[in-house]
Amino acid sequence: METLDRSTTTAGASSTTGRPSAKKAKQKLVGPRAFKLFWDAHSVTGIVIGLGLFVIFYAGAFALYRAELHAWSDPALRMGEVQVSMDDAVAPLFAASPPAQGADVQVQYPFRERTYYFVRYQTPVGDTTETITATISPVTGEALEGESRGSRSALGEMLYRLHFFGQGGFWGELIAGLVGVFFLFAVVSGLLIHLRKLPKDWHTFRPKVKLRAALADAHTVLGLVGLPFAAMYAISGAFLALLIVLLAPTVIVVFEGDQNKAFELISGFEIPPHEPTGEPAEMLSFQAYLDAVPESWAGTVTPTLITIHGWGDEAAIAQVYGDAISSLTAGPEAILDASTGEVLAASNPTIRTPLGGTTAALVNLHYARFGPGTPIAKVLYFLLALATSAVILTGNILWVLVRRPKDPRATPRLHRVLARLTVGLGCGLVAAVPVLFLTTAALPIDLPALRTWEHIALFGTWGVLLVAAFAGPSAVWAARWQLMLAGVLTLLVPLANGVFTGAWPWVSMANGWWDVFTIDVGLLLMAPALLWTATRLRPDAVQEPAETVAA
Amino acid sequence: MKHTWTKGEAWGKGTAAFFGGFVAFLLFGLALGTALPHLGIPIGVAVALSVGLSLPVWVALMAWALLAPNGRRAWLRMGAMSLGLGAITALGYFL
Repeated sequence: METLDRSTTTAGASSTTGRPSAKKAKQKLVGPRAFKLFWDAHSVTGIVIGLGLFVIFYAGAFALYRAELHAWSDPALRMGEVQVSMDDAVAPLFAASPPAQGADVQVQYPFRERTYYFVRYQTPVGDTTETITATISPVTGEALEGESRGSRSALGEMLYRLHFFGQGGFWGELIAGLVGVFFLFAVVSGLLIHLRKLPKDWHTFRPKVKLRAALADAHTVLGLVGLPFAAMYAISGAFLALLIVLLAPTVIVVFEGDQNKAFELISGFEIPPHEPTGEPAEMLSFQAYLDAVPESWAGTVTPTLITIHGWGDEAAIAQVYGDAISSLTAGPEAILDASTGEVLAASNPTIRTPLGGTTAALVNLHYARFGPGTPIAKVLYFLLALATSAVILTGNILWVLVRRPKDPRATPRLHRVLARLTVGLGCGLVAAVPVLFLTTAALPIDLPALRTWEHIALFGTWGVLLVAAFAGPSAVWAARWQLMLAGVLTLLVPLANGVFTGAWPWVSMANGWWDVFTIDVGLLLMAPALLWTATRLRPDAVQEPAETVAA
Repeated sequence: MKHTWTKGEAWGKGTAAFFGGFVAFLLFGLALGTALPHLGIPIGVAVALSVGLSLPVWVALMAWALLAPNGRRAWLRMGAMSLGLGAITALGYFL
């Protein structure tokens, strides 16, 4: 992203390119030539990936609260304490549609923000099988008419998938991964060109000065504050999105195509053979599997997921996954004999294998899984993700502003388009997200076309605002009214939730719906911040001559 | 010192950093996975290192390509790096 030297003015500054003078460059960590090259590469990289990266970070801030969004969007998922066991919860389901012999049966337990049981298995239908998925209330034991991820609304999934361009399938994810790699490059090059000035830049923030200097301050200060976070996300995000690209050659060449060997290196054990024998066997209760996990899990691991491979077969195994309470590098897993409960293999709950630990650390860091500290970490991540989003947008705007000629009418067309695109895609998304929330709250949750309307609400509004950003006297003017719109709409979301679903914040608090409470209060705090930012964007603030801020 | 980018330099360095760096990044992972076990490092540690370091190495290679005197030299750097890593991978695989 573009970054300005924020001293008042000077001699020798190259005002049309945004690069500092050679004299200043000599004072930097790297040599003057390398400094110039890194400066240009930082700017161009930021411009090329900036808007995509903004979408990733802004949607990612909400994706952190994916589970809470499910409960917010679907009133049936607002749960209290667990009162019905998994065995009792699935009993009516299994009685009506028993699992097929040899089927894979997966059951998920309520865990942290995910407040419900989830079941997936195959049941026989004639000569074939049909997959059954069910979301079950741990309070009443009733199966809810949910989609595969629990909620009947698409709100949480849409924002989650938008975070890695999941709507674009494999190619979308690949692009997200490449954006992550280039983001890491932008972070490293940005650090190299700022390192010497870091102590000074750290605390220079002047929101009351002219817009361009204020944007430069915001870009640098927020960028520096969020630097470790940004670097972590660049590495872990690119890792997750490019995992297949990263591991496939290793599996093919090093393990000669044997995926199980790679799995063994991750888990630290070999999965016992479990090919169905055709001999029927009685399966244990789900509680029995929980009781049978290794003793070393006691007090350190919370079981979260059980998958039984080969249901009803003598050779069936139960794979139990857990969440380590105090280890970032763990990904506990145990394999049990599904008919006897004997532990056949288990990973160390705290010290996994080097490869398992590396992958678990990258995953846990990315998803803010820090054991009991997770809620605090998620708030911190959320704020840093918003800060990084601001760094990205200010970087784009600065890139245009520092190249602005004395006569604004002479601004190149490409720069004008970039400024409008930045507003339309950036501020437009910020305003479209509360429209999505309002649509979800206002429409009946059992409306068959709810998901379609939600998609129209988000992407339709975003598209309209993108087009609207090209109208009006200036990009700053467009940004101002779009952010104001976003602030007002965001403020309306908790109100709409109270009016349409009865979940006023105090009602959520009284009922223990902390997930719903978190979302509503978060949006209530976000709305004034958006409105304040909008008031700071004065269209006349960019009319100053180009030399007033050293570039 | 003023640096003016020519189209050739920009495209040469840009493509070398992206495509050349990508090939070298893949070969770096393979080189660690195939060669390190010959040095007594367990395969699990070797693959963990390749998983953890490959992406930062790709970024470092991008920076190296960027600092090359021109686009052709950037491609030479990436090519040489890829050849070297490819040779290490081949040695590790066949030995």
